Amino acid sequence: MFADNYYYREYQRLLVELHALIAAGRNQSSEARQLRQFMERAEADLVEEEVVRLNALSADLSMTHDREIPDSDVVARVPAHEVPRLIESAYKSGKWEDILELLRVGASHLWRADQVAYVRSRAYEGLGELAPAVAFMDEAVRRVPNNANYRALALRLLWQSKRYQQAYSRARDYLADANTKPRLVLMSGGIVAQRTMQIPEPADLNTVANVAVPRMQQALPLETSPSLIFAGLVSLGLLAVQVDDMIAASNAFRDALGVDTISDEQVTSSWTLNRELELVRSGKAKTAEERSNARQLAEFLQSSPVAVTA
Amino acid sequence: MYEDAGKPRIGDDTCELGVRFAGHRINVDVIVDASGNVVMDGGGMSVFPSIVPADLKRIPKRLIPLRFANRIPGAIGDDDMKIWTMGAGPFVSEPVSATLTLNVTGRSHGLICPAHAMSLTDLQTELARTQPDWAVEEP
Repeated sequence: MFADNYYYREYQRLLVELHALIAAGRNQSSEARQLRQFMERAEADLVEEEVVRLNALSADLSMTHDREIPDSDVVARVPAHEVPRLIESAYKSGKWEDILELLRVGASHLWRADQVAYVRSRAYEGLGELAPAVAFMDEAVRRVPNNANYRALALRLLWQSKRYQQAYSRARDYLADANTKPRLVLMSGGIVAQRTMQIPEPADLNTVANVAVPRMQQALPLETSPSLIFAGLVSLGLLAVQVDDMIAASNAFRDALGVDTISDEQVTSSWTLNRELELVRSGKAKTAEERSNARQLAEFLQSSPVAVTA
Repeated sequence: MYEDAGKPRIGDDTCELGVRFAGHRINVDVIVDASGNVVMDGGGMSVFPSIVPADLKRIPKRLIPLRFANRIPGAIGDDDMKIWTMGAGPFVSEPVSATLTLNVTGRSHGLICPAHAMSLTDLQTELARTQPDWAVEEP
């Protein structure tokens, strides 16, 4: 896979940054010039096939500053009326490269721009290329700012791509905003809960966790998806431990154990969850044993579902 | 390359008419030996065959000025740069003058190198002497 080459990934990251500067009207800035120089350095370790592919990514990213144009090669090869059927078929079979290429015919007559950005994000994620996946989900958010699903997915992608501090900062802002939709509150709480397992802790972690606990308690009754309720309760329990609210922690872990079983992860994490409840109830919260157990629970949260699926 | 009075700017920095050597902060185009001569290892100034779409697909898009993004998908280059062309012959490894030769390194990339042993100063002079032969050719 292309993403296995460190320089390929580095170039992708630089490309995403450069397009962001261009979108901000800073194409001629010193930062943009410096990024191009770093790109030249990375090019020395790329093969031609990789350059071609990165050029195609650059063309895709042009949508973030409204400069995207169709790829004449794809337009010449693929009849326009076939595109919807081909994309649907490629989507069903997870042929991410094909989807990306088909979208280069200019898909504005098929989908709204936010949907094109969303599909591109899913495709790059499917290819394991997270820097563009985040960029396109952020583009979907930019196009439709009040879509909480896009925001939740962008948050998850940021975390998956190990940009922990950025994910944490966004989650903190969502939790502080009274207008944030319940699902995004739960997702944000999950990010903060996972952050409690990392060292060093952010200086404001306890403050943020103290905000998160009541917000999650308010959001959970509004959620209908059992898998999201389960993940939300586990997150709430971990956050309550963080702020030394052992009653809230016990309640959350107990309630999580009572949620209808709907996923493999839920079953496989139940032993760890039981153990966590037992440790909290017996006054062993924040001991080395409990922290080790809590880390395993937090790992479960990483694979927990988000609001929308493909 | 950047422009200077209607022609490519002569220099030893990125996107200038010349080569970069040891000490450049980003890249090195040629290696110079202890006696000041350019090592004849095929290194030189990067060039591309043409601006037809098939070649443009293979040229890093940072080299195509952003102002062409409405014609060339993904262009993200510095708008102070221009695209220049020299000569009309085939893009093959062969001499381009008595002192310079083209070394084709890939389908869409080549290097203008010294045709025989010469000092770094002489190579820069020879490259600079091609300045009148370059013309802007933009898509």
